[in-house]
Amino acid sequence: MLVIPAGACVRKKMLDALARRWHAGTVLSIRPTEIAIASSTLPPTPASPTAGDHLQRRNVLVGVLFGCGIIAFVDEAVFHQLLHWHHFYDRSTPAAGLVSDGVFHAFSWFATVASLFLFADLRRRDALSIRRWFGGILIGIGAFQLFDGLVQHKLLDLHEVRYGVDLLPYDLMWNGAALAFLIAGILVLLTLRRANRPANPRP
Amino acid sequence: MVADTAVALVWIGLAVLYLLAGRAAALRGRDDWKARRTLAWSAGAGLGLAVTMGPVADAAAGSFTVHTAVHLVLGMLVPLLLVLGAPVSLFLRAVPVDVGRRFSRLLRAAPLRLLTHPVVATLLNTVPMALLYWDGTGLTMLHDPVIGPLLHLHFVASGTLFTYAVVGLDPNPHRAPAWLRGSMIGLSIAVHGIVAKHLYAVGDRGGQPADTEQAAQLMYYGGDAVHVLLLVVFCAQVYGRAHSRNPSKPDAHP
Repeated sequence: MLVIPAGACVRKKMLDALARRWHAGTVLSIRPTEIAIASSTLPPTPASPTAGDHLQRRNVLVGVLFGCGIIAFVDEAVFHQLLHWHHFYDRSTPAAGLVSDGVFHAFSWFATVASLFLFADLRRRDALSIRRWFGGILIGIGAFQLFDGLVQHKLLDLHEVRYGVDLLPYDLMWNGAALAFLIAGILVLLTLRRANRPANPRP
Repeated sequence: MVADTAVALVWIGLAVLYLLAGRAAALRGRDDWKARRTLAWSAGAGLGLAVTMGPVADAAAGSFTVHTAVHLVLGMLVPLLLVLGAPVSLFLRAVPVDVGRRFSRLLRAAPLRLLTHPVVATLLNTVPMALLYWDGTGLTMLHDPVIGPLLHLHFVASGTLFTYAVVGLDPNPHRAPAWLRGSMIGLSIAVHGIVAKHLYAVGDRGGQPADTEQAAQLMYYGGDAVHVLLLVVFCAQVYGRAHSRNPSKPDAHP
């Protein structure tokens, strides 16, 4: 038995297929009628409640990515380059620490660039919610710094916050600040959710 | 010097061929070629020329740090600029249709398809680099009169292959999905950072060039600087394509 999908779904698939062929360089084989059918019948706005929720959540995710990028940049600029507290590479670092550092470096670098483009994408879709985005940034900063402070510094022994000093106050400050950012971000999001619930119930 | 002249001819030849192809395309009535592509290609050839002959090449022979800078330019920046010049698209505009068809068929051949797959291109680009710089034992090869120039050629070729596989503008009959191309960019950033830090770590061993630590840091931060350009190009492409897939305004899509 065949299940025939809804019309919009078919059209979306057609348009996707067209786009794929366009980028594959085989666009010459597209017949004009295909474009006409696919583009003329696409619904103008995909405004369904689930799509809206999805985009709202994406604001938080984009913020988290940007937060990771910011804190990795601050870590590099302030603690490595300006203060010279962190070492570029601690010669006692085990292999796992080296790999983890490389992967997280690549991730944060990618996250910085990608999150800015995702931010532009949210604006383009008229789905930007600066507060959610901001809450996401705080969570990203806190989570990344906490990971850096606990896993990278302690578990994987990558490098310490500072050398030649009593480490305890530095570690407490580092991870305490991380926790504060994390909690602040969660509070921002919880406040938003609370404010939105009675005033603006979902249709 | 003979070697310098040969190197200069190669780079200038690349630029001249591109300009000639542009002229040939214009004579065929296809004169809407974007100036930024010509600019990218010329800049790539010019930078390649600047770092492979004359004062910079002389300095690289005596300093590991300068040598690292040369390899960063040749292996990452020049390939990005050459790929942004979209030479294959220009070639297809410049030649008669049947030549273009035959060439496109050649591009679809299985070996080329395998070679331009992002995973293969990433391996070809990162593994030799990692082996060369991992612990500095391969560094004597750099000054070999035969292997040295071949390494330069390898860095330009594998860098261009990788850049084409992940952000190529030219027609690609089997372009990999964005998640795979993005992952390979991430992977190569990670490998670059790991190799640079490992090289730094062996810098105080005997037998290493005196400026190994400095060279390793340049490899790390210089690599980041070029990688961010690559990331911007990649994200801008995905951003643009997402829009053409889901246009919010029907007339935004030509």
